[in-house]
Amino acid sequence: MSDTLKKGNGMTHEEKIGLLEEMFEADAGTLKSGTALDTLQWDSMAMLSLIALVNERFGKRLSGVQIKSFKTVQDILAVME
Amino acid sequence: MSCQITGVSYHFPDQVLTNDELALLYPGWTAEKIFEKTGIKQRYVAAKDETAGDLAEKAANKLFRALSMEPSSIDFLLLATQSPDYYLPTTACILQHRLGIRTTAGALDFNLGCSAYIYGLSLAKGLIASETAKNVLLITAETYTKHIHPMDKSVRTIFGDGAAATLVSTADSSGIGQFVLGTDGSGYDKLIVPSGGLRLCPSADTAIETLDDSGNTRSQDNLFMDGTEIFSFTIATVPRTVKETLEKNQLTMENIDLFVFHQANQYMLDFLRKKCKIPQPKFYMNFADCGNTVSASIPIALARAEQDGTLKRGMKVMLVGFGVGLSWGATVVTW
Repeated sequence: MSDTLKKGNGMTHEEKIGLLEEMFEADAGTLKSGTALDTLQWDSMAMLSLIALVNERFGKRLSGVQIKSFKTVQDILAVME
Repeated sequence: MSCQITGVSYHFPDQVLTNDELALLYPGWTAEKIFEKTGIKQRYVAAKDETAGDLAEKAANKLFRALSMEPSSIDFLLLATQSPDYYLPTTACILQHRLGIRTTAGALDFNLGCSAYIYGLSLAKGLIASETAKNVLLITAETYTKHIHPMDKSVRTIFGDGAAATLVSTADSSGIGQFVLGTDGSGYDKLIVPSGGLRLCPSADTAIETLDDSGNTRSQDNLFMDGTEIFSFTIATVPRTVKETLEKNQLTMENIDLFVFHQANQYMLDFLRKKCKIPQPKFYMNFADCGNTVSASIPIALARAEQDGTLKRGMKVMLVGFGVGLSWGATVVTW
């Protein structure tokens, strides 16, 4: 099973933004902390991808309730710890 | 007294709902997009007057023919369904009569979805071990399409109807291993038909349709699934359950020849396979033509795996079911 987790502490802000740009299929450099999620492809598939990403990279479980409360990229970055 | 799975047969209704037909209903969606997101090309839909009980009967008769056996050999009938013919009487009792099973047999329904097959095997094993029965007919039959709103693409693209009949019989050596089971009722409303039971009776109010943020229409009379919560639950629960099941059966990953998970949807299964580090050839997926058939999904996959040669006698197979309830379970069977 996935015992080795890449702990969020080791990841820089830029690396996290990079992961999210990949997830949202956004061009490099376009995502900022303040970017509103409703300006991105923030659909049900993106939400599943985020749950998967946070599980894999940060060993955390994100609930649907948490996810639905997210408004900006910063809200997502806050759980990538 | 030990037991084993002697045979599995399955039955689908005649009517098919294709991605092309769905794409016509959902603007901005193509047949390819639906397949890309779900791994499903089509699903079977029960006729208006066709119930899960009818599908169950057909699956059971197919099994009797396949095994060249008489219904009179059956001394216990277990039916898993969340779409029974009636609240009461028990649909399994009706099936006893329709299948020509003897009146000295036991029969009961149990209400579970995607985890039902695992629970059904555990019940069958218990009945045989306690010498209450020798030949248990375990039928898993479902018609979720009857609860789904036509304009709810979140579930209409996923679920299909179908039934499977499994014979669990006494055996000289154990063909059904130890079980890991789990329940989390705090997630009861993440996969639910809110009305229709006694908590909320159907009314003009429950029939009121609403549009959700994703553009899906449903009323309280329809199936609702919170996809993100179910996904979150599944990926948190299943890998741990696989590990626990290996431990309980004193086996390692290498000892397992085949993994048959509940055939939910492509995205979830791909994630789980990678997370559990299961090599592709050992991870059975075969549901593109029938979709998520709920309690029938695991036995249908088993029957197909045997048909296409993937599953051979003597193989150790881990079965993992997870979903509505929330409920989950896993075991290892020796085929």
